[in-house]
Amino acid sequence: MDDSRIIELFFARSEQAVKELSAKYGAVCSKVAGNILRHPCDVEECLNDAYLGVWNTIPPQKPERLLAYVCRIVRNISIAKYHALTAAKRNSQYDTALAELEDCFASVDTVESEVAAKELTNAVNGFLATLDQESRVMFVRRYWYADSVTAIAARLKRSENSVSVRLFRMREKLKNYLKKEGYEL
Amino acid sequence: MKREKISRVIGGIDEQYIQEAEYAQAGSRGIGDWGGIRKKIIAAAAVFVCVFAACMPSAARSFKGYFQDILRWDGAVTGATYQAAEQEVKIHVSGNMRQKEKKLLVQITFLDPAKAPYSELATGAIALGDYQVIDLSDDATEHVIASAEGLQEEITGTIADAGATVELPLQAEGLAAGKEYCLVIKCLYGIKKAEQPLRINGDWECRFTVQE
Repeated sequence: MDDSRIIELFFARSEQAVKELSAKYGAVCSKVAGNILRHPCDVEECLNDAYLGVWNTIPPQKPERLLAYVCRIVRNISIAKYHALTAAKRNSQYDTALAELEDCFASVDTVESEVAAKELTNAVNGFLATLDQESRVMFVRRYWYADSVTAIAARLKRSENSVSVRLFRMREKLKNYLKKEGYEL
Repeated sequence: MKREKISRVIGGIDEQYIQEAEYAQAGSRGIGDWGGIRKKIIAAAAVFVCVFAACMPSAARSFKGYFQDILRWDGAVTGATYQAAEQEVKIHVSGNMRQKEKKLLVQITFLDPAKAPYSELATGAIALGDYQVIDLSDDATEHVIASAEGLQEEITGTIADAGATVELPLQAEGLAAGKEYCLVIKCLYGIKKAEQPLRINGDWECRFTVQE
């Protein structure tokens, strides 16, 4: 079913909307949550919360990109749950991806406010716009979706080594880009 | 920076990139092992076309645009675009622009208005899509003066007499008088009521200068 039709169902307050959303994007959402959380029951719970979140926000929201919209909600809920569940322990996949980026943002400690975080996000988006499509997909799959290098390599039909090297180079580029944007690293 | 903060910054990545990363697969444009093979095929095709065009100029002029399906990762058709429209749509800008002006008038004309998709857009509108304004001078430190991607809803003109004029807002004070600039347009969007905008891809370049 078309995204626009699913959104229409949400606007009509039809419960079929959630079923259609789940049928179309359930697998992707499950993967996003699964990359952050370990246990299937936590993933399931996050998906249910996310569908409820979508139900509560559409309307009034009318997202242009439904997939990205629902995945963002899933990711936010999963991360919140992850922090609640594992204050001391660390989940390998999600945490490894974040650890890789720590060096890029090493001394950028001015992200206390939402505005500053938004500015830094804009800089990252600006950086992504400078990349070719394949590099951008690698970056977003690794650091937004928290996919493993193996999964990215399989998806893009590249060797794991090639993906790792490209990600390393992109992180270096990101560091330089942020320096040029005025962030002291 | 703490990982929670990094996660928050990364969490704000633009939705278009999130969507792109989900749908992009090896073999799609610019991605995967097929990229290299495709580049070779394109290079060979380009050589062929150049030779062919040099030998037969009339044939070179006859290349026509065509519709292309937008495919989702699983092969489902989710829409259509119109490709290679540069021979079918003429784009012209006023040759010069005064510094006090803040907009560039862009004249878009369909050369064959009876042909689809232009015939379908006769009562619709046309909007600018991906574009760049480039400083052509050698001494420029920043060559790209302005750029945008995707549907520019605010830069839209109603179609009348097989064409439309759109106003591209530019901060002309930031442009130097006497210098030459080039507006490069990579796509337009045909807009028809109650239908998804049709992306019309092409490659247009229009030069202009700024006067005092």
